[in-house]
Amino acid sequence: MENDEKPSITQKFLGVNPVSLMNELPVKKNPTYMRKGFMYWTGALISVAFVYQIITGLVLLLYYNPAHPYTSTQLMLTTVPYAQLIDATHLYGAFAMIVLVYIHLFRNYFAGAYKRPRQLQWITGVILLALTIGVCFFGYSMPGDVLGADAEGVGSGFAFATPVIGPSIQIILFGNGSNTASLFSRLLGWHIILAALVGLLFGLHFFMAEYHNIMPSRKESKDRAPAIVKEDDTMKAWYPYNFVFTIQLALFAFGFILLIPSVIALLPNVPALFSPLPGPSRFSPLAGNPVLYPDYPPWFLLFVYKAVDFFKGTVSIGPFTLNGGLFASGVFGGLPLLYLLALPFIDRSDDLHPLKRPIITGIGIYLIIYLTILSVWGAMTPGVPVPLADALFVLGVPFVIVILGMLAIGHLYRKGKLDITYDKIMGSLAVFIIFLMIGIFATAVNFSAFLSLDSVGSLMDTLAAGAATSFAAVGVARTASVSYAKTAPPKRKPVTMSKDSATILVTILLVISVAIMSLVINLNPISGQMIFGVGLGVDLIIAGFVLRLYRLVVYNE
Amino acid sequence: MADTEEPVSEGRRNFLRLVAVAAVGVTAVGLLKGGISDLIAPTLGLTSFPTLTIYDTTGKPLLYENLPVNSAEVYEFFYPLSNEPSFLLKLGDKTGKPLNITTGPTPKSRATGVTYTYPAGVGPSGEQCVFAFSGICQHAGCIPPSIKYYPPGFTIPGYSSSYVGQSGLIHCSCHGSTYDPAEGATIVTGPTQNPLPGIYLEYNATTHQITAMKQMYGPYIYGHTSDLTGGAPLGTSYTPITIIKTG
Ligand code: FES
Repeated sequence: MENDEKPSITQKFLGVNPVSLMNELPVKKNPTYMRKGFMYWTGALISVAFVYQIITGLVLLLYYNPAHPYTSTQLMLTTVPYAQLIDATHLYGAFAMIVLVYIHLFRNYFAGAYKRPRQLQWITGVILLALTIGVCFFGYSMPGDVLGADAEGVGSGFAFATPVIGPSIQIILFGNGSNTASLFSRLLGWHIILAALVGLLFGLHFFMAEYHNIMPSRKESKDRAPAIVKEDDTMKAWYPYNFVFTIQLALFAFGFILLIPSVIALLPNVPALFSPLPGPSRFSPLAGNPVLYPDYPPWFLLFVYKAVDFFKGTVSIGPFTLNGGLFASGVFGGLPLLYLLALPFIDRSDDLHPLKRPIITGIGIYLIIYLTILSVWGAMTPGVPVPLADALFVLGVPFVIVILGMLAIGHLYRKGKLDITYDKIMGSLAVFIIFLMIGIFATAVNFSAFLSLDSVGSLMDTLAAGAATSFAAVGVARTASVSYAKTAPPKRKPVTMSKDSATILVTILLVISVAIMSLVINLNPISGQMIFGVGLGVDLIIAGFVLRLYRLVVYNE
Repeated sequence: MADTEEPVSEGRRNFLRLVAVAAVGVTAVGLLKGGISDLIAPTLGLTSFPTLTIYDTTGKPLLYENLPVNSAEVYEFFYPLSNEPSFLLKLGDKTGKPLNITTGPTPKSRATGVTYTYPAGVGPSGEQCVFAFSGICQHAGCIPPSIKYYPPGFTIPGYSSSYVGQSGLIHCSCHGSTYDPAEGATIVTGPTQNPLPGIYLEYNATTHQITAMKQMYGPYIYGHTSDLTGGAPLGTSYTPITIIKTG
């Protein structure tokens, strides 16, 4: 290793650099190419966001009083220095976690990471998804504002409607209703208990991930399971290479988690569902205004919420009678989860190429569409009943299109007519999904007219939209393959900046960073805290870039 | 580029290392400043008594007629700070007819010998029967439902005195202190040495709402060095009722 030739500054002062002992930790080396793409590190980003959540959550805990949830929160927000910033970033850090968990899930889904030897890792991951949503649900209700109260009302109603054990579940989760503290100390308790469970299970998930290491590139795995990185001596040590890289990731993640809500908090007229700060009290007269504060659950639960509208009345299963709406959301929310849990048992082939398992890939694409349709639908027409047949039609047509389309593409691929790279496939998939969305919305817009059959035109529209999307998808993939074959891509230059300019840039970045910090650090910690948040967020991102350039110059990465 | 694979000189490497540490250090300064200032909670309290309208459990102002006479359930609200529980009482006689207390009661402290003058009851004329007292027992600080109001006719477990109030008694089950609500929560039995502090109320004859305001009477709320410090203000213009169901 070139570093060892001359003693570094740390070595001069401390003898053996104690931090290099980190290489003795049970962490795996990673090939250099992995430190170039974010897609290999979606799990690491979630971990960073989770650490941020734990730290800010513990700080918020010091101020939270479940007997006075709203007043204690408001009091903290209005009197404690930087409390708004911490509260807002705790909310957006949770949003970031949910978004990243979905990205992580689908990246590993399409990459086939659920196959051997990572089946158990996949299953713990799906459970972590459910737990994370649970933590977020309880946390969202904690401030006692109108949005939280609405969320809590929906959840508590769900619990209560479970047959036989429903009332007990409701009391277990939401308290016996004797007073404010009974509800909010349960919310607080479950928020922390579930977060602790996430932490424990994450530990297991993480060490399994370290044991199996990250999924290697397709080139390395040759699209066959088991996809394992073979560690060898040409690989650089974990410390300092991956260590610096991890800090770089953390700086970027912290930076965006601070920056985004701070900017949003400074914008006027942000819709209540995305406001980084709690809304008015559930007792306030404003709370009754459905335009300002619609009766929504948080956005990440909108998809189960819409399903409530699919099934009015009751369902009987054996001796039990269920509330139909809740039954529907149980089914529409539970089925995807069960499917994901069962996936390692369903698809046991060793094929990792998405086109070699077209049905599984198709279902994955469909899941994205499914979540989007239900969420958008829930946000646009909350509580408007939809007959089950209509719902199944709207959700069913894209399913048929996607699966048939993927089967066709998979067929072409197997016959060798679609010899395209992974990047191109991903590009085509993105375009395909966009086309499909357009098709679905065209269908949805014409939908009521179509159902009443008073317009042949809208029927035609619907069919045309469906057909167009299928053709578009296949066409895009075809074009991609043809154009790719014609224009052999020039090899991209690996490094685009010389070491001298990188050094100068790093220095300039440091000066800017110091300047920003000195501007924001003495702002009023109450009235100026969101501007402070913007400055701190930008500085964290700058520090991330500095480390990136440092790796470029010193590590040649 | 050609120069990328060449190792950089020792000097430049150390310079870059310094810059990298400084860039991360700048953010650490910001994070620490934010984090530590947040941990230092500002000392809180109020400088004057807030004017808080009493709300019912549904989030609307509580109306006089909706407050039950001689309720065995505790109607608790927080005043003046959010950690100071208080009782709201509508006192009636044995038959449930509202009392009419128009002259302020005068409870006496056994600890200091001082006699206080509490405000008269509030309510429509002829029914001045609504009172509010601190719900923190003056003996050792027990709170509702350990300390609660027993309407006329209710037996108080462990209470052996023959004293019967005009409208039941307030009794603390922790160590047996008893207070008479119709007499300004004056001491009936020990171990308490002080009456419960009284809260000034106003009744609005047009809206029928009840508002806690202006001042408090008697000793300081138990555990506080003044009624206005040692807790967080509610920060609202109202204080909601919590109904504590009792056995
Ligand atoms: S605390 Fe109430 S009697 Fe002792």
